[in-house]
Amino acid sequence: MKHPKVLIADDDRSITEGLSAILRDEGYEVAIAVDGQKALDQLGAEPFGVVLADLKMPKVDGLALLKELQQRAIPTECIIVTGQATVDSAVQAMREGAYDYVEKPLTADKLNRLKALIPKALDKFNVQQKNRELSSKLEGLTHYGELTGQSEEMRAVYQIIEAVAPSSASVLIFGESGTGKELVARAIHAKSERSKGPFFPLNCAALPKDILENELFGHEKGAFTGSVNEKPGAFEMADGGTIFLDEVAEMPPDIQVKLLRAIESRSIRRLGGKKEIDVDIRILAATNRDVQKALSENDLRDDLYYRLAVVELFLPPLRDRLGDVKLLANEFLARFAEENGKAMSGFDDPAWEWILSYNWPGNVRELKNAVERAVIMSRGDKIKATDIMPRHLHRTGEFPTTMTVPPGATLADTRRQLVLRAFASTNGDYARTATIVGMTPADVRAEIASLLNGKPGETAASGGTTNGARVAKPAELPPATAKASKAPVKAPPTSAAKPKSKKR
Amino acid sequence: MTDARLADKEALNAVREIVRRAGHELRNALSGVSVNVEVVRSRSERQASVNELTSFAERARLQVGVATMLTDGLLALVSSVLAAAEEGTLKAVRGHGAQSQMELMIYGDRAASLVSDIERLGSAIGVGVEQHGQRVILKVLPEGKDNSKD
Repeated sequence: MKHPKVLIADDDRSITEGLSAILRDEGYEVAIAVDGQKALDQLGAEPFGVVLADLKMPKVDGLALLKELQQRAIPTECIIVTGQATVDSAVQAMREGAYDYVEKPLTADKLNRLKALIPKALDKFNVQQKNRELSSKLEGLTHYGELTGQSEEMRAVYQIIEAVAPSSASVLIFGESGTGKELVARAIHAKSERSKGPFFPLNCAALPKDILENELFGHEKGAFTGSVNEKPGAFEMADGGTIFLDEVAEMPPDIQVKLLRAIESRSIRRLGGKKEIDVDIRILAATNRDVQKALSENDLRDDLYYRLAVVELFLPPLRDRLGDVKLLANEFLARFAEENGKAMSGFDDPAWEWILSYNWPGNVRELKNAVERAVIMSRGDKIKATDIMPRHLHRTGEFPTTMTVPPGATLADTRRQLVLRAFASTNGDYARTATIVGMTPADVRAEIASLLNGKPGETAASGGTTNGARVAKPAELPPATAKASKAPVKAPPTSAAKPKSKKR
Repeated sequence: MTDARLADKEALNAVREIVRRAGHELRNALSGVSVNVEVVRSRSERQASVNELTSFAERARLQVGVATMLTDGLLALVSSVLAAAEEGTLKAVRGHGAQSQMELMIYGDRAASLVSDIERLGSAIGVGVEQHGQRVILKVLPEGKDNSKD
């Protein structure tokens, strides 16, 4: 806000004139409202960062003004000036959303306090105003950097990226494999003042300990057998830029110690080196692990975690942002059709049903690979369900002709297996299944429904296959899925728990 | 609780309400003094013109007058109430249109001056004052937005 505006709402002219002169002398643009109603009218007409409101005013008093501001969602910060020197009135004002309150008489000390409060309230107003502008800017956005998504969950991610990117704060990104953690890190880097510097991604789980250490810190000539030349590490190569440490919880503990030291001292020492080398880097890190568990199991050091997780960003799994699945699938289809020189017109209805009902445990990466494979394998101009379904879920009617019933199996388990086997062998035909097993079609539907709804014995019944599909009601079962006997069962538990908010 | 004690309590409630309202008005008047004096002080430091300061100095002077009036009225009321309580002439009385109402006797050399001060206080804080010889009735009127500020 270029010209911070303050509204004084008070019916006492001796106070409003004096106070407005003081605030104008402080550099504020000041307006006066002689009662609560006029204050509301003015606040509705133009933005004021701060309102100094008397608690008792004609027409609409200070508390009623606060309530109206909340109800009408008028953005401003309200400081209540009260002559009612009771705790109750102060508590009530704060409860109604006041930024703070100052008691009369406005002695020199209290005027100084008021002068100190106003810039703080304006700061809060400006931050919230920026967030509001950002929210409206992000509304309807389908892409952000290399990220794709228009769901509320992704807009929240974009908002955090926007807020955190310009700072130098370390960010710890949580999310399951395939959710796009590196893309988030790249977006943060690209939006930061370091964007002209290098972005250096490093997967801490992919490299053996010695190599990881060497990759991070580099080495001097002769540091170890075969090191015939000196080599700078990631810290040196990313100087002035950003290092992205993926799967940071998999980093060996002694390297975590060195990493912590490097972050704290902003300097590193190469392997075999004697001199400290100053580095200017920003660290972004990611993990797909439950960080609390990693901490309790000492896989991740507490002190390193606190250094890395100045800001935490949770990237939702694809199953939690179904609104984005269609957008992503269409985008991947267009991309891979072009790359492969195929004229694809889209997905057929059963394919969409499958895409939207499947759990996508491998997240965006799995969807991307599935669409790429489907584009390559497809024979027509539309992707079919069998093109897009993961291979391990494909069945071609080749079912064992025998069924083993283990000792201890219950009658219900056995019946379920029998029904499922017959259902699969008929490519999902309820009527034929009923004829084979000697049940009514309705009973077959009920049996399949109980299986889909996660009743006990589901895993045994499905031959131990956990295909990652979301539990769907029988009516929602995609025809292609049913025919191919791909009865979706519950997804395995997610590996990356949503982090709890940290209290420090 | 006896009738007499109940009446005492009601009378004290009326006094408490008058003092509360007077306190509010005093804080407002003192705020008026303080902010306007602050303007004069800070602008004097940067050599502001006399014209620029006059209106603020005048407002501060007027608010000192208001604070003085309120203080005099409050002192008159408190001394009269204490004297009446000592002599047993302070009592609560029933009345229409008032939040609470009390009666006390004010007499002596300074009676006229005390009543006058109390009347001026009353008019500023929404308290009606009726004088019947030495008997003075104070009616605490419902708090109007015009006569009492917070």
